[in-house]
Amino acid sequence: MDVDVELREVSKHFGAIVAVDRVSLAIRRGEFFSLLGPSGCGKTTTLRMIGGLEFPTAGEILLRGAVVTDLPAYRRATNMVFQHLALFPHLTVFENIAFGLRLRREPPSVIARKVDGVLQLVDLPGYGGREIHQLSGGQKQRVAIARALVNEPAVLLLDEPLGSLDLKLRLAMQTELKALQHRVGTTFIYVTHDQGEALTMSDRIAVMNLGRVEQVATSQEIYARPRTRFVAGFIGEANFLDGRVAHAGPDGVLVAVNGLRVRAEAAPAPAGAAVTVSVRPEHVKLGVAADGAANRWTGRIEEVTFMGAVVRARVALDGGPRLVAELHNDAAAGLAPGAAVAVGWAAGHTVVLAG
Amino acid sequence: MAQAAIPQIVARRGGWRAALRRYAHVPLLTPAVGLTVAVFWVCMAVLVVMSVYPFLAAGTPRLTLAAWQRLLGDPYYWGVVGTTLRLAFVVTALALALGYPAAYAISKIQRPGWALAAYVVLFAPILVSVVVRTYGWLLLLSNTGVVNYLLRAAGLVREPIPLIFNETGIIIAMVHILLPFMVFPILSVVGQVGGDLKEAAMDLGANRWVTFRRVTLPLTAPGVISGCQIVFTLTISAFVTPFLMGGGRVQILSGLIYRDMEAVNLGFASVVALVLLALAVVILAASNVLARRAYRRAEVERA
Repeated sequence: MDVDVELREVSKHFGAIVAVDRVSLAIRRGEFFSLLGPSGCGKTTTLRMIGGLEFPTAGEILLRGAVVTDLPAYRRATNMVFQHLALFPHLTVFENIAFGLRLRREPPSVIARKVDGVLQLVDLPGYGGREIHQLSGGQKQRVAIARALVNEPAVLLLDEPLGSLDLKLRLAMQTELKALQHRVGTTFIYVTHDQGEALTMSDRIAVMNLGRVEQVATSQEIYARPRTRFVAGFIGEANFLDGRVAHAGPDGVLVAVNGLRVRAEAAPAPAGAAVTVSVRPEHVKLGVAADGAANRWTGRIEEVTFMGAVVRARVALDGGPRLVAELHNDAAAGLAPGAAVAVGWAAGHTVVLAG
Repeated sequence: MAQAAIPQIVARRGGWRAALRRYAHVPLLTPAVGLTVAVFWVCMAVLVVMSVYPFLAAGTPRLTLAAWQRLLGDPYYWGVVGTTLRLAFVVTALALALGYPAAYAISKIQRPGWALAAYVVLFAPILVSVVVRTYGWLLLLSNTGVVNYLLRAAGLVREPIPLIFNETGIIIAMVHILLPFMVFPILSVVGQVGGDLKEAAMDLGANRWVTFRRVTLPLTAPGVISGCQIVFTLTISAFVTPFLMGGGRVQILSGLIYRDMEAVNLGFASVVALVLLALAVVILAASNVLARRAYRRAEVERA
């Protein structure tokens, strides 16, 4: 499988601040790859280094096998869609999109054909003559994407491009972006702090925190098998229980949490090591649904919150720890604070995290 | 009937209330407009009348176009018009050449202390009288002045270069005096060209120079045009500095007005004043066409 972008131990320091800390990534050709993390995690700086708008303090960046670490943006086969779009207000839609083509001195007939083609692609046919200020937010978004894509970059870099749109439009654009990426087949590197956005669109996600990559995996894998406590907490929600590996064998793992023994399928640490057990609220079953679960205890309901399609219940286990369970609202009938209830989940839903 | 009448009354009432609101700004405008009308437009009318009734003040009104014929028919006066325009264009061009980079550099200063220092250095001279600054230049540029002394000491010239009592002296002093009027309007727009626009241009393949030419320059055009308009108008109507630096050897329109006023040749002075005004209006109108296009883009930028 061809690798389009490779980062080798890339670091970026701003004075005493380490924005990006020894990040290594290999992004495959044609992939929709997301850099996901909270603000200040270094995801935008990483993207800007790939685009040549920022230069690494240490490490190497390769684009299609060639070292581009110190090449400025205007010598790289990457194009970026900026967070605030950065459309040129003094140029029409056509001239905005043609900007890169004109700099490459493409003949006017080719420019006209390519701009028309890309306007079709982003569903804005006939908009070439418009001024930028005549466009709606979603249309500006499309022009920004068209302006980058028309140059047929090896890699398209997107820096939270949907951040300024309202929720409905954002969801529509997510689907559209994914479909667009499928059609053109270009490698997309997408920066976002919105886990839903990353899970929806990405082939693979790199979760970043404090300048480091915590985990690189597909959406499903990141969600089902987070490797660190940060990833488990940042993507979706999780109950965390601190404990110690009591037994680890081919048949499974037992983790001692206070007085409880929690069953899991695998653990990253040997017997005796301190670990954190994580379980998603939607995997925690209550009442009869907990019957037959490998991990099953009794507890008392403390609080029930109605949230529409789902109901959230906080349960105190008899052994002490508290858990949050999320149920479909029909399964939650009859749950009331103070009631004793069975609590359980399958061993396969226990995620054991190191440390 | 009654039903039809009610909306009519409501409409009429809404009408005069709306009218009151519509003209609420009139009292705010009156003093400024009143002053301008009394001082400027009345005087302009007097000028026009005087240019064809030169002996009005003497009590012997007689319509004559002699003053107009004298100015428009004499090549000497066309030369004066030429000198005035040439000086104004050269001063404007030099002020722009010096002022744009200065404004650009000031907008780049990160530390507030240094930015303040740059402002003080550039704009403090405005606080000193034009006469004082002009005499300063006379001292610096005269044959025995500092500049010629240094040139001779460095062995670059043997005879002093004449830097005063000619157009060179006027241009040097005028550029210096008017520079802040060029820097300020440019400074006010150059900082608004966002860094992300420049990055977008670079990302699309533009190096620094192309980015400047295709993005920064067009977006700062409104500031450039205002700066040029201000400097140009101030130069063609300037009197003190050209008078002192020219030493009577460079004749321009404002000098003609002064000469003929002194000689109580009010008719001719009026004609020259009107010609000067006409030149300024024509140049400003032409540059306003450019400005309107540039401003339309700039407003979009701010939106």
